[in-house]
Amino acid sequence: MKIVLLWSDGLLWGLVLVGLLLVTQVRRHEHLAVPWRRVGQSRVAMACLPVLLFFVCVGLLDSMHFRPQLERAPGAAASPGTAVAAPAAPVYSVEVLSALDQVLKTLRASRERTYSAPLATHAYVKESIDRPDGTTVREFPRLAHAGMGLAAPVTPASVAADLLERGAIGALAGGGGWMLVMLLLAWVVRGEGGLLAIVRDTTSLRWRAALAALLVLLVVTGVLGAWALEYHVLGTDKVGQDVLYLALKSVRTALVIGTLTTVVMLPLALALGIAAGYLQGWVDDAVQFVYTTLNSIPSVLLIAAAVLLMQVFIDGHADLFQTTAERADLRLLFLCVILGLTSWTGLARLLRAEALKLRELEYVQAARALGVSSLGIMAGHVARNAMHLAIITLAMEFSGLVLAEAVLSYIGVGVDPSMISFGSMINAARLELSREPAVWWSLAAAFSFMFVLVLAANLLADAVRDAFDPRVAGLRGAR
Amino acid sequence: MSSPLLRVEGLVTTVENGSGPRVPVIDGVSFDVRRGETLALVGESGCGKSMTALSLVRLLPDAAQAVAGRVLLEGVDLLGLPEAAMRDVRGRRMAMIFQEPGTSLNPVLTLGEQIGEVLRRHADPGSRATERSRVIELLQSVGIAEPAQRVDEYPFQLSGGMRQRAMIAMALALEPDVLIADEPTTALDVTIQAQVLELLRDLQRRRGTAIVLITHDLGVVASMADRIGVMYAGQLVEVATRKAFLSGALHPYSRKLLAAIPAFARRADGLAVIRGQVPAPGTVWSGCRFADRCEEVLSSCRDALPTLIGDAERHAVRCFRAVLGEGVDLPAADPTLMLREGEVRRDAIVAEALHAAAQPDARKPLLVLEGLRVHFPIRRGLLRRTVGHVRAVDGVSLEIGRGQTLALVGESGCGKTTVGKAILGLTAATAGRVCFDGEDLAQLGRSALRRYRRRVQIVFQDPFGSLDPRMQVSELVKEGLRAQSIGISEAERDARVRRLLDQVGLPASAMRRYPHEFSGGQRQRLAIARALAVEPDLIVCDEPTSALDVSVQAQVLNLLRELQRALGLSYLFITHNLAAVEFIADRVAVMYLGRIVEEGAVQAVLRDPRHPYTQALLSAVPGVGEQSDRIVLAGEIPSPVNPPSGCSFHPRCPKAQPACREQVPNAIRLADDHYAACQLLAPRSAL
Repeated sequence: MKIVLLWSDGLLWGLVLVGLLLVTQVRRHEHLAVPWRRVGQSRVAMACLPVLLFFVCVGLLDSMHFRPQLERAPGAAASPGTAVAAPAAPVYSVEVLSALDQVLKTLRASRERTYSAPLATHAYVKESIDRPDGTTVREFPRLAHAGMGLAAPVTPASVAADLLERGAIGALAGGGGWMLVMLLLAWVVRGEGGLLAIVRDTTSLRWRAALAALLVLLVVTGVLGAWALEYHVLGTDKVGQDVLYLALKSVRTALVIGTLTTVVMLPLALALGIAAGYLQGWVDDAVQFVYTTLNSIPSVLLIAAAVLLMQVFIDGHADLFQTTAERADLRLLFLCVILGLTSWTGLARLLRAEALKLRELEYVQAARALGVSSLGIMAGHVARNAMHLAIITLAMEFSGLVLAEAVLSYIGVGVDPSMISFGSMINAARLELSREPAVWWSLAAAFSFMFVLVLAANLLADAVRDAFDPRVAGLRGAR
Repeated sequence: MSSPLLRVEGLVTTVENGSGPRVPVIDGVSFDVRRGETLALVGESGCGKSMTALSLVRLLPDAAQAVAGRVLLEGVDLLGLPEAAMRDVRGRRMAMIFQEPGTSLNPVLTLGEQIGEVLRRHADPGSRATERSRVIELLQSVGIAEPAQRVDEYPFQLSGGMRQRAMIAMALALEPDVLIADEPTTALDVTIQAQVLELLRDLQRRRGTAIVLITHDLGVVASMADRIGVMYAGQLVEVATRKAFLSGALHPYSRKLLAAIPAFARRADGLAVIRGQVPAPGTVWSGCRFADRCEEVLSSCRDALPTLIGDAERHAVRCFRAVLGEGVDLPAADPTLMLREGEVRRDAIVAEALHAAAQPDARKPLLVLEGLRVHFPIRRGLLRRTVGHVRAVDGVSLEIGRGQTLALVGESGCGKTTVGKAILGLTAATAGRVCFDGEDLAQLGRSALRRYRRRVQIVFQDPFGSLDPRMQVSELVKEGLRAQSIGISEAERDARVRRLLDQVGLPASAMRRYPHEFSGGQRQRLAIARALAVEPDLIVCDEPTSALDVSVQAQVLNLLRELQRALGLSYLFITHNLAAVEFIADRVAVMYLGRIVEEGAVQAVLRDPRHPYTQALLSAVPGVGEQSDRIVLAGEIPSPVNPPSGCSFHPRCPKAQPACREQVPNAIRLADDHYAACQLLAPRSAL
């Protein structure tokens, strides 16, 4: 096995590292911790937490890549002419797998021939089957990896009974896991009254809401997991791949696009927007010129042109990439950069307007009177007081970016075709929905995964904003 | 005695308090108002004055509700009326004027449409033409010039005073019996305030309207009210006729409020301060609600709530001291030791002040302004051509000595704040010089400017806007230390912040808190601590007390004086509050439309004003003392874009001569330290 560190992996883990560092910083400083504690006092935020953590874990698992070592064909090493002494260098597969692929081995391996509906035991379309007696019939063929344990005549009743049994086991497993987490948590908050305090919701952080959300999450995961061992829970796509697997693989793409793009966009928007608003004069003119110009170019065209240029570069330098995964990754990264470069203007505009307002405020005047440098004022007063705009915009942008990826994939300039993403799933649904009978589950799966991810992120962002706005926080306290 | 027009009996209004029980904000308020009478409700903010007004017209916010008591308008209980009937009462029988004229008129409707709407709602105005003529008539009656033209204008085309007049016209459209005025002049300048108060008095004389006036300005009360009700923590603590109240307020709270008004006579030992703060709604009291802040508290005060004793028509008070026979029946037998002591001290203080003023300051002045001009260009069009200038400051020369306080007085828009900003170097001077300790501000390089900023600091008006809401107190105060690289280690700076907080009377525990957790007065203390952090020589105080209650203002003014004595600071005190000037300033300069019209020692200028504008300004200030002749200036301050020729005051000046239109007057020395820029004051020979 050979560890492969893709660029986006590195950046994603880098972000996680920065996040952890920030957490330790915040924990060490009481006054920084206070607003975050307020976030924890919001039931909605605490309920979103396990959901988001689930997505992040899936994304991070999918960001540990490796190339499995290929087993040497027996006998190939002992060919007569070669020396026996030196063991040949190990040969690695060209296919890059991730830890998530390893976890979902069964899903990945259980390929059908083509479409099958969720939880079906037979294919979705009739095929001609040659009977042993020589006749040919058209019927729904049995799936290769669904309901294998069922006795020969598969009836809806027997499937239902099997599903019920497996579902019950899965739910129990999920519930058991939840119990474990709850006991662990009760031990952690034993100082505040343990389990009883959680149940009564008297803990300083709203653990009850988090636990309730976790219960739903774990039971659903348990049931789906139990079914997924034997069925295609969300059906299969055109080439027979399990849709649940595709959806889970898409999470990483969405997270990468959503977070890395903001890493590109945020510094640009903050620096240029605030500088334009605060410094005014020629800086303002220049920044306004740039973003008006940029906005007047249709961004899809700009992105298409840039991505196509990149593709030409990638195609022309095939020797730079050892695997297709590396190529796809570079394209994804480049997509993030170009999306960031085209999407900073909206936030910059908002920040400029806010800076224009803030620079006239008395505390900014007072800071100038104290001799604080322009840079100091912009960083210490203006940026800090405009941060809520950035947080709100980023939360909105996150969903927007995930959708933008879908749009770009539609016109063929999105992620690499070999990369699984919500965009490509939705894109495929275009044809699937127009066939008769319609294949709806790919779209439904992509939709529900995206919906849950974006909703949880938005709700959390909302709670964060409220907690960081001292005025709103003050009101909350009084109410 | 005629029966009262409006009678309020045992009014109780409660507000929601989260999940807890509802909290009373008005707790058993009763009063009567007769036809043609003005009842003033006074008290600090948060005492329930506005809530009382809103309860009367039933316009309370959703969270609040009048739960007990009666509001009788000629015997009809308004609280029991259905909403439809109440709509007829509002406007027709009872009308309300709000504080902020800017936001109480709809910006997208013309005056005619807005006032016409009231007419249409309540009375049949007949045709459009008669409605219009009625509106014009109304505008005329509130003293709006050229009403036929104004009727088609939008609120933004009117000045603040005009808008307040329009609001009054709207309130009076249906000739209501009761007018409720909630801080009607708080947002206005003194000369405009004088106009509006005069208008209200005049309307009351003509129509016999009963007025419930809500204000925290005891000066306004003294000049307007027939009877005064003092509110504290949702209760009336004293009700008295104006005369009885001003000559002998009985409740300790009322006396403190009166004693907190700044005046020259109180310079020596500071203003009376009410310790603590107005209790928050929901506080549980066992006895008198004022007991915790009262300096004359008796043991019985903590056990039982005193009732309102005495005749509400003449003088009633809610205090146990009054029960002990300290003269409910004899308001003339003044129990207020404070006033008598004040009498005694006055002469000594005046003598001291005169002594101090007589001593010539041997040293050079700290700050000298020479012909300072600040003009802001007005740019229009695509190419941003300069089409004119706003002459915010147009030739100001001033001096401030070390350890001295110069007050810069004037109405809003006269350019006094711009002077302050030019001194700080926040606004560049167009012409003239700002010399600080011999150095010309314009000549200072980048690093010299940063050093200069250590020596001159500013305290702003709005204690809510001048502190960054996202910074902790320690960060706020440390900001200057960091910018000026004072103190080496963080610990050293922390220690210094602690010392500064102590100096301005805040606990060290404040360091880790955010500005919104503090009250207005405390925030102003924080702003002062921030300014003091860099050890300045001069602090520009830009209306530092205008946004504060009288008692809190007293605390801040006291603090400023103490700091001046302890640290030898100089202040440039920018304000429109002449009472505060009297208390804190050594010298005063009166500014009108970018120029200084009169300047001199505080006693000389305020006791013997010579410039017609100063005279008008002083007479416009509603004082607690009785006043005889009142000069009410017509019109508003002209626009500084196009100031009048010659003496800029001549269009409003009651004494203007033809010559005033042509010649810009120079400062004329009237006395040792008293100058005025008016041609009429020039010796005959000079003309």
